[in-house]
Amino acid sequence: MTTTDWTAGRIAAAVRDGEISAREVVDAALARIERYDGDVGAFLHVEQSGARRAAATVDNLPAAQRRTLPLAGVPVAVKDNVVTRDMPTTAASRILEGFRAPFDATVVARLRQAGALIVGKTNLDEFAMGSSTEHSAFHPTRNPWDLTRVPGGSSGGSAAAVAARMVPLALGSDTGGSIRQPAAYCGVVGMKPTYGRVSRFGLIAFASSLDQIGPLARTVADARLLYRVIAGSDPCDSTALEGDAGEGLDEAVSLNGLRIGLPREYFGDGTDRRIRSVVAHALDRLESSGARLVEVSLPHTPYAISTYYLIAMAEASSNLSRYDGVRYGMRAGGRDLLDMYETTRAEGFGAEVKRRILLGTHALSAGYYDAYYLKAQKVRTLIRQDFDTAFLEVDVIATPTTPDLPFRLGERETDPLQMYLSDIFTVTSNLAGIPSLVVPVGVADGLPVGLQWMAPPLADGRLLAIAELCEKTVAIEPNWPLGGTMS
Amino acid sequence: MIMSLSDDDVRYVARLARLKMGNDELPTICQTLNRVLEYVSQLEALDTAAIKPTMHVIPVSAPMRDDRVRASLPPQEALRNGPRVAAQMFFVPQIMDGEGGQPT
Repeated sequence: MTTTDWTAGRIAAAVRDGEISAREVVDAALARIERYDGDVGAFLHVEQSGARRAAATVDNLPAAQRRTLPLAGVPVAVKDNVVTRDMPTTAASRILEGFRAPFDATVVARLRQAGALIVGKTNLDEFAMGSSTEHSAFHPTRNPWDLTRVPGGSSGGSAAAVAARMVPLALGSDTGGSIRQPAAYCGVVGMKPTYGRVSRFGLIAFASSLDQIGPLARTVADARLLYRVIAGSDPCDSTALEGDAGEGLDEAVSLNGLRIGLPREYFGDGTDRRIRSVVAHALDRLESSGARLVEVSLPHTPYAISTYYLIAMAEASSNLSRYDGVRYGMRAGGRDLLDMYETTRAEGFGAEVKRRILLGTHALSAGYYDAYYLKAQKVRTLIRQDFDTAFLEVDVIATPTTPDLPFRLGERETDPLQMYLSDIFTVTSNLAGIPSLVVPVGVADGLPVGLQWMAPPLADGRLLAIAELCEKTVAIEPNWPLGGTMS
Repeated sequence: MIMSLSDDDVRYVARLARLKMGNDELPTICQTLNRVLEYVSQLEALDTAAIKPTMHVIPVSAPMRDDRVRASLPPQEALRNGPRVAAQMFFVPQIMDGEGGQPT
């Protein structure tokens, strides 16, 4: 067994104890990336020399100091919308080609301090706008389970890198499901923490009232390990919550009597019957282990997609106004300043990004603000209240993650609205700000299926504990076989 | 009140968004935008007159920190990604007629 099959927890323990060197671990990870990433396309940039230098630093530390590192020698991949000082950051957009951030994101700085080895930057839909990682300006990423299918998105590169065992851990970002949907499609664990639990200093902003950074891993324990390193307040991000982010992280939870809410709006005929069947099987197992399944209602769910896209596009149009060809990234020619702005943005942004900027600009423009953005913010209140009411009756909510199994590359490119509608089960957690986590619970026709868990705000620790019980009860192996030649 | 967008409306929005758009792109973009707007018009069915908007999803108070002098990025670092930079300034195409405007 090589270290690429190990969990992050096992690698860190072995490096701390001096059983193996960080150098051996990083060499194995880089070799696996070299071998398989030509097929998968998970990475936009592989940082061999930086990762090896970081490994040498860990190996050369006095043993007593190395023993304090929670991620000693653990290879980690970082989604390419999180800035890194010594590597390029593009957000998978032409407009940021060649950009090198002058600082590390807070999450990246915390990874380095924890002894992690950052092996590279992973692919995404441009500016995290998409659900398939086909909307990268550079290349699509393929699902390691079936290379003809998408890995989901927008954190598709991170999910694919973890699933293909190139790295045990990766960072993603989740605005409407961008960690959880690819986690489900690639058969890994993905967590969107409570809004504000993880600093966003250095995350390239998409929709600021929704964005959150979170972990992708092959086990819940590994997701917790990464979450513990990155969570917590940050003087550089005034939206990062104060208080102890580690509180409740070691909470013990029992399935016995645990009230699991099943929202009836998430269990309709619109979901692929193969997904419904895998999810039902997992819920049966939990029930026979003592959990109580309780039907609840989140009645404003049918309005969630409209609400989400209006808010996300409006905020995106504002956040992306900074890409003007003046301060960073590419500049196209132009007769004058205005022409330079317009040409740079027309040539630098892809079709999906332009579509969202246009819709968002319209939604915020004079005469339309009340009808669109303000209206959506009000419906957002109703969606939040649905969750508040449901959590009076249940401890946690479980749902399918996606209505469909991973689709084939190119299959949905022509119909953006269809792509938006497939986010129905994930956008509500972002709108309500609550923590949410996906655990793989089975396979249908050779493709993975993930169960989504949602908990009340700030119950991140409890959510992880429940997800870990689910993982044990439904008994999914962390190294279950991948499709194709990657087994 | 939600209405569909004409080609001229889309041109106007594109100008606001500082996006150059060719006439050949207009019909497709217009059609896609209108499809999305038609879908989101479902929100009109909800009476939200008495509902407060969610501006902050988790209650937050402005966190305070000590006002201490700290090191910041040196100018050359802060400027290094500019496509055209000189004399610690970002250079842009000329805005007004007249002499100068070129980096030395």
